[in-house]
Amino acid sequence: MRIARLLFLALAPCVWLLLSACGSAPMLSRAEGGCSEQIMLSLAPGVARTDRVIQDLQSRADVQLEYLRSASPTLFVYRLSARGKDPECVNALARLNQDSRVRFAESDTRRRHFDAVK
Amino acid sequence: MRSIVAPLTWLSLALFAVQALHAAEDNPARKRPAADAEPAVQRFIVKLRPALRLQAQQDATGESATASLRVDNGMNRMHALADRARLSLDAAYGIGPNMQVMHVSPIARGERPEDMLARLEADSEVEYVVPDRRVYAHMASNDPLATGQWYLQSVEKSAIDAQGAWDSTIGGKGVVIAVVDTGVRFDHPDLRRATQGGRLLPGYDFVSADPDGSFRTANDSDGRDSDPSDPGDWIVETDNCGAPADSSWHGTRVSGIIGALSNNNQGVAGITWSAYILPVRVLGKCGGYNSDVLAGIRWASGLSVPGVPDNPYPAQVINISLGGEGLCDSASADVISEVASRGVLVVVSAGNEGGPVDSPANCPGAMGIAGLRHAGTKVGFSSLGPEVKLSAPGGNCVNVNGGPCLFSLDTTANDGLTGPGNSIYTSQTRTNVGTSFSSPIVSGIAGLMLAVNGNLKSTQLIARLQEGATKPFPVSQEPGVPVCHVPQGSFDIQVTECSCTTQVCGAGMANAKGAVQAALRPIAAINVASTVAPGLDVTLQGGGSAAACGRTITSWLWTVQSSPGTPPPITNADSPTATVLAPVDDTGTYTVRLTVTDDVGRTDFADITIGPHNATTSAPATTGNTACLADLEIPQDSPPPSQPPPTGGMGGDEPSGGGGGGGGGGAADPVLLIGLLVAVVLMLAPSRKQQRQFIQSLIARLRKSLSKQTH
Repeated sequence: MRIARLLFLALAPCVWLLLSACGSAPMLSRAEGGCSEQIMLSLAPGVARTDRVIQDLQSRADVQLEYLRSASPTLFVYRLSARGKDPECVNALARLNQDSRVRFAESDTRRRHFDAVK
Repeated sequence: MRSIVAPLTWLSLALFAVQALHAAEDNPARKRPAADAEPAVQRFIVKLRPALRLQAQQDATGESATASLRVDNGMNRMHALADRARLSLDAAYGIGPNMQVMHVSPIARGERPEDMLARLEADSEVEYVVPDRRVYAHMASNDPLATGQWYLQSVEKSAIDAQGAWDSTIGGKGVVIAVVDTGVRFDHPDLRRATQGGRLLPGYDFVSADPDGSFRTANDSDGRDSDPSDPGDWIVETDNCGAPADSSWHGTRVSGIIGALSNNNQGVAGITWSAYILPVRVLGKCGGYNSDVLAGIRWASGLSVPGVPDNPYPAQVINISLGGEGLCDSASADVISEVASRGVLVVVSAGNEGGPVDSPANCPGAMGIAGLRHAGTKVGFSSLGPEVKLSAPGGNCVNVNGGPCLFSLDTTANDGLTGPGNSIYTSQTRTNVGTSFSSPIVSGIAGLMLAVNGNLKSTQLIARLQEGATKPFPVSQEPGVPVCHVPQGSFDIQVTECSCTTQVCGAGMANAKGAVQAALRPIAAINVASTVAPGLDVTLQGGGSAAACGRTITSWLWTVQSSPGTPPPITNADSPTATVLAPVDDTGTYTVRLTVTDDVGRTDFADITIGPHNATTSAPATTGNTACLADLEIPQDSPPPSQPPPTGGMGGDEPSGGGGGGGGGGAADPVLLIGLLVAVVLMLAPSRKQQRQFIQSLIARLRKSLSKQTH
């Protein structure tokens, strides 16, 4: 019993640290000197979201896209990264939107509730 | 065989009748005496024509005057009237000039009251006659804080007269209203889980990881999961998203306005007393991402979201008391129109900047709601503009120098500054204002409407909410209060009170009683059953029309509304299916109107334009067959061993976990719980070998978990 208690004392902090580590994925690196934004991407009708399509979109628009999740079967959340001076990735988004396979790409803006200031 | 069929048929009919009666009178707190259904003695209010005028009329026409006219005595005239109408007068008394109440019974047994009324109406001495109907005091809940819920009453100009609506319905258990918000406190005794007799369905938490992989926004140590409990959304300086603030418990406050448990001798009343609330958590600390909001809206409506189990309780109404500045973005436009096209009503707060309507309230298909002061003028903070469909109370304080907030919107809340604390209610001192609370007022009214007519879809609900609204907007008599104008851009802010117009505040002020009355009307539907070709017959079907719950459609009438020349003939104009002739060219295009009437005389109409090659209408081809929504089947939890007293400590019936301190982990801390579990297992392990094996398996599991997170 004594050993068990000692083990617990030794292991409890480790368990705590390990589990804390589970809760946070590693920071995604920003493109060097560029921008990084969470965006929503919808592809044109008939265009499937294949690896090839996404790779091609990246190279043509000179951006990096990292898939995060889906909001619907046709609306996807990506992390958009691009090089160069481009605050809030406005230019990178414009380049993506020029591609005919993209129905729209737009910033995943934050929403707030409408509890008024008293 | 016949001997079995007959009783079964009678049983079915009896059950159907019980169901219809239940649907028609859905207010358990308002009992009518059974005898009121078919009283032997009928009571009528009769307005008699002035005797002298009538005498002069009859002299001019040479008509013989009756004895009752020669002596202008009300009682004599009532006796004479009863005689002429072949009725036995039991009693009569005056209630005003030439106005009498008469208690009569038919001389012929079994005569219908409407026939008696018709004979009285036909008498030349009678200006009008109406049944002296039994009236009831407005329904009021017994919730002790309901007296402070001014917005549910009818005294203040913008109050919605929910009490008047409750005379017709208190809602239905087949209605689901989603609250897309910060989550909810399931432990509030005036909300509670549906499985424990409360209002709250299980719902879902859509708050995802932040872009850096952390769960700072979620504040509950994980991403999407099946627990939409609100862990708190307090903000500290290091959150870098504005001024530090206490937790808002916003979703709990919104939910209470819509459907707090009512008539339960506790706290406040909700607008609907029976609908279920589906909590969909999309906001956390510093708000939330639009993508999570949109995923939550889709899921709430019953649409699928990849990686999330389908919603077993799709909502007919979705309340969204959130948004952001700017035009309607493409993704929001997509999702809102997709959901609205399924018939789901999306009610959205206009915003609190006093400027142009925010997104997604400005998206096509959304029902944007602006905020009103108690006096019916626009409350300073409310955004406004042409996208607003209706206005509703937003709460206003009047006292600006620290006095009580006189017109706060009382609802359910929590007193935790960070993590959850005790369940409480907002009040004049714990104020609750914002357009956030205007939209749930409208969502709650929509819930009442669906209880009486479950076939109503998004566009019909919007139209009838507008139809039943209080109009026109009052014009402030206070000096210096301007008329509101359409904002010219985000720079054009109107943050002080202004008088609403239909250009900026929608069709009027939300009115629950009016909206329920509008919902009780039938729904006209038109289907074109044949191809349309020049000069040939077009078959129009109105059989898909439907009455409100408990009612039936008794008549169909097709009429030509507008025609360039001689109105074309309609065959079977008083039938569910009629035939018209298509014009030979565009110049002959004309409009036909279908008017449907139910068994209590309520009507609806729909128009269809007949051209040479097509027939177009905005009416549905068919209305649906769910006028009476079936109650949701909610499995009930077995009661806990000991229940807290209902009026005692408001701490709730669920452990709220940690998070009471500053900047802590919010709700129950899983790390702490797992640590304790490890300790217990280690202490219980009988040998060192088993302790070792346990630790090895634990580490293996953690490695696996880590690798999953980083992919």
